[in-house]
Amino acid sequence: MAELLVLSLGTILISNIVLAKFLGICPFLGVSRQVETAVGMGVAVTFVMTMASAITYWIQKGLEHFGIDYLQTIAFILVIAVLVQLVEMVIKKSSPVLYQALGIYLPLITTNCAVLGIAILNIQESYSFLEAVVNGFSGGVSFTLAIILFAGLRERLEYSPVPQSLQGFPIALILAGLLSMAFLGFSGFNLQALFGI
Amino acid sequence: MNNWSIFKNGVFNENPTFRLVLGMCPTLAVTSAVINGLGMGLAATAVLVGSNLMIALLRKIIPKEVRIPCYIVVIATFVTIVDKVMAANTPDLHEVLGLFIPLIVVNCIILARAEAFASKNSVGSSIVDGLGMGIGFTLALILLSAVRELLGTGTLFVAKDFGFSGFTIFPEALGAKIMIMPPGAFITLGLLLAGINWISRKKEAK
Amino acid sequence: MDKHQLRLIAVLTAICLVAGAVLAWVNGMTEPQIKLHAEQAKKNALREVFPEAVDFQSDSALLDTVREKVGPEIIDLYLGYEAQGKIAGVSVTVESRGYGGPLQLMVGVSHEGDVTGLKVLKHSETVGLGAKITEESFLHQEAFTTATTQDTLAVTKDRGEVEAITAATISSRAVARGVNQTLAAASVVIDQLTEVSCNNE
Repeated sequence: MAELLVLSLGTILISNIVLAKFLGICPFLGVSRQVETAVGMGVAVTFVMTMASAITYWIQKGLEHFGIDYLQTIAFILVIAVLVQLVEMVIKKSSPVLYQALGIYLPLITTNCAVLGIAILNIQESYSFLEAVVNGFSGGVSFTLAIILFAGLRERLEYSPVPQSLQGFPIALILAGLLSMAFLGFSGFNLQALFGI
Repeated sequence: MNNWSIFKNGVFNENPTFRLVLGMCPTLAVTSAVINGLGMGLAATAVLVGSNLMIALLRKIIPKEVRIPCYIVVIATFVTIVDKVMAANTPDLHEVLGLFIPLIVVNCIILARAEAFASKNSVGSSIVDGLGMGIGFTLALILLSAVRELLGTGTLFVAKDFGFSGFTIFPEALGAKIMIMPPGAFITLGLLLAGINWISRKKEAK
Repeated sequence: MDKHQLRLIAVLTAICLVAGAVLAWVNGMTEPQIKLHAEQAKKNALREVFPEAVDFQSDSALLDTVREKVGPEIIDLYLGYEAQGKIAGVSVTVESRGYGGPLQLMVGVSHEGDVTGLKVLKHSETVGLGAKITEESFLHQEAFTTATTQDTLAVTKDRGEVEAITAATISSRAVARGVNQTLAAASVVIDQLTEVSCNNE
């Protein structure tokens, strides 16, 4: 149990998947102008990431069993694409309001390198099924945390006089750099010692 | 548009990194050293040219409704090929680039070009577009990693695994370590983008 | 299902099948080279951590025992033999969780329980920071090279003697942890070996 917590907190704070591992930067920069849309995107990504981690774990087992693990990239990305389609259909039917809000962002989750990235990382780190799912969920939380914080900062940025050349992506990137620097502070955390393992 | 202008477009006017702001993940992640940026850029270019070629070739056969999954399978195939070839021939670079090689499949540049160009143009033009965008991407990566490697470690183009020990401009102890860490990536790219914006605004003003 | 939908599925399936075939072919072509690299790297690593040994043999039964007693982080072990066939010691490969991902460490331990060499086989640490664990100044520091199976190592921040790399504490800790586990593994192996030789006498 403590090990799962170490894994989870590690992914959320110490090796934040956006600010330290550089996964999911495109949506991070693209969907972070307002806190509301950021929250929606974060929740959708968390859901997809958790499910994707669970499903790709078994897909990998299958691929290895038949000795065709060179098909990992294709298999994983197809699974993620299908999953995103399903999520989109479900949201469309169950909550048209949410669907309106998330609109075009949903299909973008397929190309969110964070989802594929975490799926591959789970395999590279030889996680068990439980560890993979926890990591997937934590990855989603990690992304959500980063994107919400960033959106909050950017909303405030709207009221600041930014020099013309810096407007838009440049200042956003610099801001992200400062946020990343703040998160560096977590790297001194010895989670293993904290939880006594 | 003739082929030369298509190529130039990919490198300058619609440079995927500095103009279209696509493919940010690998741009930030692998640019802590020039050799890494170069390696990633060339790998991505290979995939881009290959996938543009195939998709242009198949553009009349692929039905509109399933085009995205089809493009993804084609791109993923080329990514896996590049991955295996690198693992067999350049194992050390392959190890350093690690996760980001398979992640080329979700590099928005490739899917964007497939959708915006290769699906509507001839095989020849698509190959040139792939080359242009790929080279543009590679040059951007090299620029970014040159700045980060130089300011962070005082060296340029250290490629130990290729037997090249690079140029040492100033001793490593004087380097700003933050440059090769995540914040350095974000800030450097932000400043470079700002610089390029400034230059192009000056050009337009003339 | 109408003709149009059938066509959608047919095209997608056809592309997938062709892709699969192409990849199977590429995989077949590149696999031997990839395996060769791995084998060569392993041979070089073994020679590096255990310069005195002339031959190395793996022992899966022993590996299982060690994994049971020390943990699944021990991935491999090789018994090192001297020229006359006498056991010189054991080389243990351990996987430890670093900052950027798992790192693999190989440590050679002599029959008497002293460390003979260390090598980082794989890592995903940050270039210029955690990646420095591969450098001589860190890996071959006194705390490591004079370690024995009786020691438990820790970085100076954790009241130990291992000098961590500046701004790369997590990576340094991971190495210290890994070395501790290999020492524990070597200890188990040495006990087993002395038991066997005692029984044989």
